[in-house]
Amino acid sequence: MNTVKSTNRDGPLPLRACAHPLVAAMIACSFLLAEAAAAAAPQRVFVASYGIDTNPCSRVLPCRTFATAVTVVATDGEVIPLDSAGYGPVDISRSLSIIAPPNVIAQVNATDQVGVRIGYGVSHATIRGLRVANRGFVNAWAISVERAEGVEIVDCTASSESGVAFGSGGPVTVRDSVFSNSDTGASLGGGIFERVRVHSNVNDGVRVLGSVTFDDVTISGNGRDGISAGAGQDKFYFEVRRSSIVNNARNGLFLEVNDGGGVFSPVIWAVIVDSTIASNGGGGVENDFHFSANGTIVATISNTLIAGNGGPGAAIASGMVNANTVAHNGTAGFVGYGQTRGNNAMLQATPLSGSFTPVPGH
Amino acid sequence: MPDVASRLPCLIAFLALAAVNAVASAAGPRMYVASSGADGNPCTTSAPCRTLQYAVSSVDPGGDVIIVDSAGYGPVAIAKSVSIIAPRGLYAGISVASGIGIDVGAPGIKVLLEGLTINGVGTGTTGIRFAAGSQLEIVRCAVSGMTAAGLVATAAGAKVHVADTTFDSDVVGASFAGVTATLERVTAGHNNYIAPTLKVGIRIGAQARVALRNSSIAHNYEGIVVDNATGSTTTLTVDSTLIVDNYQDVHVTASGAGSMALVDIIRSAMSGYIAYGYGVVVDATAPAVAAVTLSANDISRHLYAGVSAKNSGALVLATGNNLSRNQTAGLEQSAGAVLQSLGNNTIEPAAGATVGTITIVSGY
Repeated sequence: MNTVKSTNRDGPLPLRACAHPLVAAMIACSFLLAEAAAAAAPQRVFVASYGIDTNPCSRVLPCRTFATAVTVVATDGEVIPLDSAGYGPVDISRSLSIIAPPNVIAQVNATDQVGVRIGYGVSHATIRGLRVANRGFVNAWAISVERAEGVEIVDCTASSESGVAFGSGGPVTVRDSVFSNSDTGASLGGGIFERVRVHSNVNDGVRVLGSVTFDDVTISGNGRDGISAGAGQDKFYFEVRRSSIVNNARNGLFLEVNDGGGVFSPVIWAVIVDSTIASNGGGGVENDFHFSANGTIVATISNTLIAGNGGPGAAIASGMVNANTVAHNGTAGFVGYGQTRGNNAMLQATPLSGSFTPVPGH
Repeated sequence: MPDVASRLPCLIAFLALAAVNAVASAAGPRMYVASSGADGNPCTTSAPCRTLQYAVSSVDPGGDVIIVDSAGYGPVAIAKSVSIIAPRGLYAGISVASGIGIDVGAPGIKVLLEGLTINGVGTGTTGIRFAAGSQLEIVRCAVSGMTAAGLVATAAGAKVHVADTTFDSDVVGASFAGVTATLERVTAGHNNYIAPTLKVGIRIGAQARVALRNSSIAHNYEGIVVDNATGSTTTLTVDSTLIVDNYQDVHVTASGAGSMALVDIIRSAMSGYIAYGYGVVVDATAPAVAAVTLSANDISRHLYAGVSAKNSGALVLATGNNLSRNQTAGLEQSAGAVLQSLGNNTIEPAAGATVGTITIVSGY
């Protein structure tokens, strides 16, 4: 009996049964079916715990692994796991979707490679309902999206013991997912992050490297910053709305520009509205110009609860604060320079430190 | 057609490999339990086990136990890192006739509980106990019918994450002390106030740091109780949560030197039927401190005050709240407490809007 040479922890995956005549006949049929399938690649293919990879990946003769199924399915087709099992790492190099129904626990456990990789050649893909774990390979990502436009990650969980749970090289849409128990929860080149939980990562919760909108996101209990946004030669905008950034060991949000010794002119525009930034070990919002005279950080913070952080409520270099509640923070409420509507409620021994110019509404 | 002799080596190899697989899966990273399983099985998809306890005992540390179909799977004690996962669409029940449903307790372990229904049937004491470990995550679970509490989390220094989970009809829905907890889309309800036991939705004790949002705490005697008497600091933030139809919606107290209860509530509703008691009560005597901010909440329809600050250690700052139809007052200060307002709270009716000294403060 042969098995797939497995580099994952989803177990030995049977390829060929022994030569009972009936089995042999079935295999022969399956090869015929596979050939037929190859002739016209099916739009929908299936994998199952009881499947084998020489099957045609049909509903009645499913395959065993995602890796095989994605080679069988038509471009823009769908791979469906039929029952709860581990289905092995998968490398996706063309447009297709993997969709696990809600009643199926479809796992990908990798030890020495990326769990789910969506390559540069993919213009459209949806990954729904997978549980991806990378359990060992240093710096490996659990889910990696190299070309991100048109890619959706929905209802997935991912972790990478020594790497990044989820990473994208560009704008990607992520919804209803959990990235936890990794070195870093997520590294985002851009996109939309909606109803996502990022928690219990050793390092940062989320690293922002491009324009991102966070909506209804919880980022908590991470070992460094909740969100760390860093710009070098970039200019990007990100928004945090209706979200909770709490209980992280360092800062809630950390905004950093580095102009490369005067070579670049990086800019971060950050908007934080209707959110809670609380109980982080450092500042609620902190910034760092990294000796970057050419760098710019503009932060607008409105209708947000900023409470119980170890450092200042928010340290900003320029921007606007409006209608926030700021309380119990370790140093001052707001530190730095900017404008205020004069309507921030403060339960702080030192409400303001620096220069905040009152401005009227319009 | 090949003869028997030619197939024999293959058959032997097949059986040997199958045996190896069976032995290997007796201790593997992923175990399955099913209604058709048996606890002598290797817990594979084709030969699942029957109980969570057997599967948890068998699985590798850090591994997963997967529920295959709807059934009861029995209480379980957990002393290793493990994930127990029931997919959506299945019922994975744990009936707790006595004692504890899921007992998590060993230093350093990380545990995920997902999709479980834990029923105390009126005689079990605690649904989930987290007495030791580094991390507990509870997702899509339902705990009900406990004589003590749905969840008791006291593992010193640990993280607790709870999402999409219900604590219903327990004496205390969920209680936290000594942990850092993040709760979202949690329901703690019907832990009601029928005598003789006064019941609580969520209780937050000493040295706990809790963040709660997008949740519903309703139909309890007290919705949320923050109570610190240990000389330490306890914190709670609440965002976008219904804390309604409780006799008393939020009760914050601190006592003893060095004790601090720091609570911040924003964008939430504390309201109820007219026959019920207070909205928010903040009560501390110096040197203890109970400091509370209330921002953009609706605090309405209480038999007594919407917000009551009392005694010398109580400090409340209210901004942008709506306080309607509270029978004694919208804002009530007494006995040396400090109750600050930015002057932008809406109180209806205007007559008797405030009682005691309300200190108007400026925004910044």
